[in-house]
Amino acid sequence: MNQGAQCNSLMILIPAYNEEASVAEVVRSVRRMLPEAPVMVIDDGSIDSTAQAARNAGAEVLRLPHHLGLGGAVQTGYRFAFEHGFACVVRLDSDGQHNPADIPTLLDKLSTDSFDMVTGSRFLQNNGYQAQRLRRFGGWLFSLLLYPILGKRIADPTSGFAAVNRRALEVFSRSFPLEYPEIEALVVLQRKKLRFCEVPVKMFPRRAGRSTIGSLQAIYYMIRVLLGVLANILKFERRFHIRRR
Amino acid sequence: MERARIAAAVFSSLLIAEIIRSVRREHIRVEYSMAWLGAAILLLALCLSDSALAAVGRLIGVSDAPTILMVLAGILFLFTFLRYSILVSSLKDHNIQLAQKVGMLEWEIERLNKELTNRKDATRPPAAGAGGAGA
Repeated sequence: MNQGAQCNSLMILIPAYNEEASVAEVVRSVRRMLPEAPVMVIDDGSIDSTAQAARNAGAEVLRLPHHLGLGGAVQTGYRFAFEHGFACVVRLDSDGQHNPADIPTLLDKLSTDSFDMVTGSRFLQNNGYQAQRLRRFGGWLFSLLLYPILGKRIADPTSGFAAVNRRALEVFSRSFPLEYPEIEALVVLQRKKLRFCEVPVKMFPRRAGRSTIGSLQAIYYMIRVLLGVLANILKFERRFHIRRR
Repeated sequence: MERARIAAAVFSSLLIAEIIRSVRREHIRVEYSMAWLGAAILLLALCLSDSALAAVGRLIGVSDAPTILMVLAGILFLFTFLRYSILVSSLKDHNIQLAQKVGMLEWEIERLNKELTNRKDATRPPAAGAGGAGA
């Protein structure tokens, strides 16, 4: 793929926490797909050999001094990309659920239709892995709740497979939710009047390890995210300016 | 004086003593002791002053002195807790920013070290005998 035509400088961002069993294969598959794009793995204070595995597979590794949580790790990557002048970033999970072959689709949409963020949705077309019933219900519920806030239907609001441009990078490098960030991130973009959309992608079951959200935690997750969304709607706007196109 | 008021006065005095002790030993920074100290002094003052306690009782619509003290202690506790939740949140934000900065700086140091090693390797003269010229 000629990513240069779509994005002047692209960085692949992979947040990872104790994913030594899967991160290397994810890095390799991304590098096979996009050999020229730097792959940055943010090691979120892993206690296993995630960093070494990623490095051996050819990724740059930025190690955080202690565990910050998914949002903190992703924001580190966004801040890094913004400070180093990258034009866009594609974020994918380190558990192998996201298919690097879908990255060009995300980037195409990002550049051709002037969106600031494009996320990959597993629910727009029912192909590939479809997650557990509880998670699908959660996704559907959030999609319903977010509709009046975002003004449009987002089929897969919990998707962590996303491409962002420099304007979104600027916003996220300053304000990004710490826990379960995907849904709140949409509200953050909406508040800043940035444009986002979804494209259909194929997802796989995770290669190894367990999800950070168990059945019991799902309840905490839902309450936490709802509060986060509410807080974002009511948030006091600190003064900083986004460069207009 | 009722037993409940005496108990509250003793508790407030002990709290004040403990806060002062902690500040002296630098277990609590002065700025973080202020809210607790203020709450404890206020509680003690109300325990000792009948008129102040009655005035507060009229304000919140309670006539029983121990109940007034309980309600007031609860309110003060909640406000102090809220203040510290705000402080902890702010500290967490700073902590995250610092951790991110440390991670980025470490990456930068590693990159510079690699670059330096590569440069040294490139400028190092070839070892004696290398090149196979033969004696």
